[in-house]
Amino acid sequence: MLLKRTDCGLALLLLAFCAFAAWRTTMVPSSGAGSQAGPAFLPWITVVGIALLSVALFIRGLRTEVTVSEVSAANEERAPQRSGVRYATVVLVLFVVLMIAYAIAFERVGYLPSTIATFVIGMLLLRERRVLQVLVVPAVVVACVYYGFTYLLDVYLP
Amino acid sequence: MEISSYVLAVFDPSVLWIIALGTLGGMIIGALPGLTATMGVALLIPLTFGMAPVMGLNMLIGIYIGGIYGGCISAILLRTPGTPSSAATVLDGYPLAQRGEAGKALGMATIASFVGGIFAAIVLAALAPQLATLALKFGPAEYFALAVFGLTIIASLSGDILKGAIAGLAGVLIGCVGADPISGISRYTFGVSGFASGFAFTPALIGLFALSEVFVQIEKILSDRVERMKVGGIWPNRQEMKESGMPMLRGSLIGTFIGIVPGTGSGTAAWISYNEARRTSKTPEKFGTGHMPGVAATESANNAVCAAALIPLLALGIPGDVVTAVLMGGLMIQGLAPGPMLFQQNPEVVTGIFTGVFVATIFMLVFGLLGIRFFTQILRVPRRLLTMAIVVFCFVGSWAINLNVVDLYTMVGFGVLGYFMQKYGFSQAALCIALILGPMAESNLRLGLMSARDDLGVFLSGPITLFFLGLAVLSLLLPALRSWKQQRQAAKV
Repeated sequence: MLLKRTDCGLALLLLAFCAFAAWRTTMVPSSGAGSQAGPAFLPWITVVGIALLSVALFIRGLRTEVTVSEVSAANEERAPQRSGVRYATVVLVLFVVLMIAYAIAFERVGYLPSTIATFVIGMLLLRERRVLQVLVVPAVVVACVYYGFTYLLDVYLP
Repeated sequence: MEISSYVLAVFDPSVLWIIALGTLGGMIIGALPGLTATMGVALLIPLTFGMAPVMGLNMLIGIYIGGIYGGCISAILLRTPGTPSSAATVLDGYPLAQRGEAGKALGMATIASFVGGIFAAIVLAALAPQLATLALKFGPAEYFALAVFGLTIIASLSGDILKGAIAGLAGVLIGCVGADPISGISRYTFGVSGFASGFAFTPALIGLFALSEVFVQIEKILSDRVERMKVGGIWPNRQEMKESGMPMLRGSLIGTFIGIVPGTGSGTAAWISYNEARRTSKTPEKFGTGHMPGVAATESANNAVCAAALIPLLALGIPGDVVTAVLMGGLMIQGLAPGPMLFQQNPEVVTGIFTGVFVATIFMLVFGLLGIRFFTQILRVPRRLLTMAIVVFCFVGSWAINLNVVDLYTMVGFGVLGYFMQKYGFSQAALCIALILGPMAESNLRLGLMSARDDLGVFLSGPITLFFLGLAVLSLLLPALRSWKQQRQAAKV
C-alpha cells in the first residue's frame, strides 16, 4: 500500500523522461520513404503511451488510501532494520560506482588486474575479512575464467 | 534398405562420440552467461572441416541442442539466463530454486526440453517439406500480427497491468535506439558509435536479470537475510508431472510452429508458450511464484525450436533462426546446398541429420539428468563469493558477444534499471519481451504499410494475420475477464 504513494513520484519521473524523449524524438525525421510511417512513428506512439499511462499511475497513486495502522505497522517493522538498510544503501551505491569503474578499466587496464581488483574490493564491501576468501579464492576464480575463455573457448579477453 | 543404412551410419561409435561431445560442450557453453549456442556453433565450425558431413553437421546440431538446453541451468540456479531463449525460464525456475527445489526445477526443465526436442524431431522427419511451404506464406503483415500477439503477453505476465504496460512501452522505445531498420537513420544514439546498431540484446538481458539480482543479493547479504538454498530431489512428483503435461505438449507445438517460421527464434517461442500455459491454467496466479508448468512450458518450447528451425533450412534453404543461419554455413562448407534438391541429391545427409537430432536430444536428456547433482553444487558456494563470481561472468559474458566495451556499459545500465524496476514493481519480463518483439513489430508494421500504401487494412486481410490478431485480443481480454470474475466472486463472499 505504501508503494502506491511512491507511484506518484515515479509517475512524475516518468513524465519528465517522456518530455526528454519527446524532445529527442523531434530530432528524428517523421516521414519515411514510401510511407507516412517514418522512423519517428513508433517512438512517438510509445512516448505518448508512456505519458498517458504515467498520468494514470499518478491518479491511481493519489486515489490510493493508506490507513494509519498500515503506516505504523510498516514503521515498526522497519525500525530495527533501519541502520542495516542504511549501510546496505551506501554499499549498494558504492557497488554501482565499482561496476562503472570496472567497465571503464576492463579494456584499458586489462581483464586480469581489473577483475582481481574489483573482486577483492567487492568482497571487502560485502564485509568478507578472511584472507583466503578475499585474496586467494578471487585470484583462482579469475584465473580459471581467463583460462576457460581464452584457451578453451577462444574468446579474446583484454 | 538404403534409409536404414543412412540411419545406422549415425550409430557408428565415432559419430556417436562426436555428437555426445558436441551436446555436452553445448550444455556448458549455454550455461555460461553471454556464450550462446550461436557462438558455440560458429566457434566450432572450423573443427568440422576435416569430418564427414554427417559427423560434422551432427556435432554442430549437438552443440545447438545442448546450448539451448544449457541456458536453463544458470537461469534456474542463478537467475542469469545463459542464453536469451531461457529468459522466460527465470520466472518460475529461480523461485523454485529459492524454495529449495532447484533439483526438481532442473529435472522438469530437462524432461520438458527432451519432450519438446523429440516432438519437433518427429515433425521434422515427417513433415519437413510440407510445413516449410506454409511458413513461406508469412509476409510483413503476418510477422507484425505475430509480434503483436507476442506483445500482448505483457498483459497476462504483469501483476500490475499499468506498470507492466509502462515497462512494455519503455522496452519498445529502448528497442528503437540505433539505426532505423528501414531507412538506416540514427535514433537516440547521442553520437555514441557503439549504439549505432542499438543496445546489444544479450548484455541488456544479463544486466536486466543477473546484475540486478546481484544488487538485490547484496542488500540481503548486508542485512543478514540470506537463506541457503537447498537442492532437493530431481524428479518432479506425479501431481507436478500431471499439471505440466499439457503445458509441455502445448509448448512443444508452439515451439515447433515458431521454429518453422523463419526469423522468429526460441526466445519468442518460450514467451508465447509461457503465456499460453498461464492463460489456460486453472491457477494462473501461481505462475511466476515457482510453478512447475511454467518451467515445462518454456523449456519444451525453446528446445522444440531447435529441430523445427532445421525444417525451413533443409527444405527451402532458409534458416529458421540465427543459429541455423550459422549452421547453413556449416552445410555449405561441406559442399552441400540446403534446399529441396538436398533431399534428392544427398538423402544420406538429410537422414543422418534427422537421426542426429534424435540422438543429440537423447544425449541431452542423459547428460542433463546425470548432471543435475553436479550443476546444483553451485548453490553450495558461499553467497558472497558466488555474488562476486556472477559479477565476473556478467562482465566477461557481455564482453564476449561483440568484444565491445559499450556492451559493458549497456549491461551495467540495464542492471541498475532492472534493480529499480524490481524494487518498484515494474515487470522486467515485460521490458524483455518488448525488447525482443518491438523491433520485429516496427519493421514489419512499416514494411506492411509501405507495401499497402499506408492502408491499415493490410493487417486484417489474410487468415494468418486474423488468426494471430484474434489470439492477441483473446490474450488481452481473458486476464481482464478473469480478474472481473474473481472480483465478483469476492464481492459475493
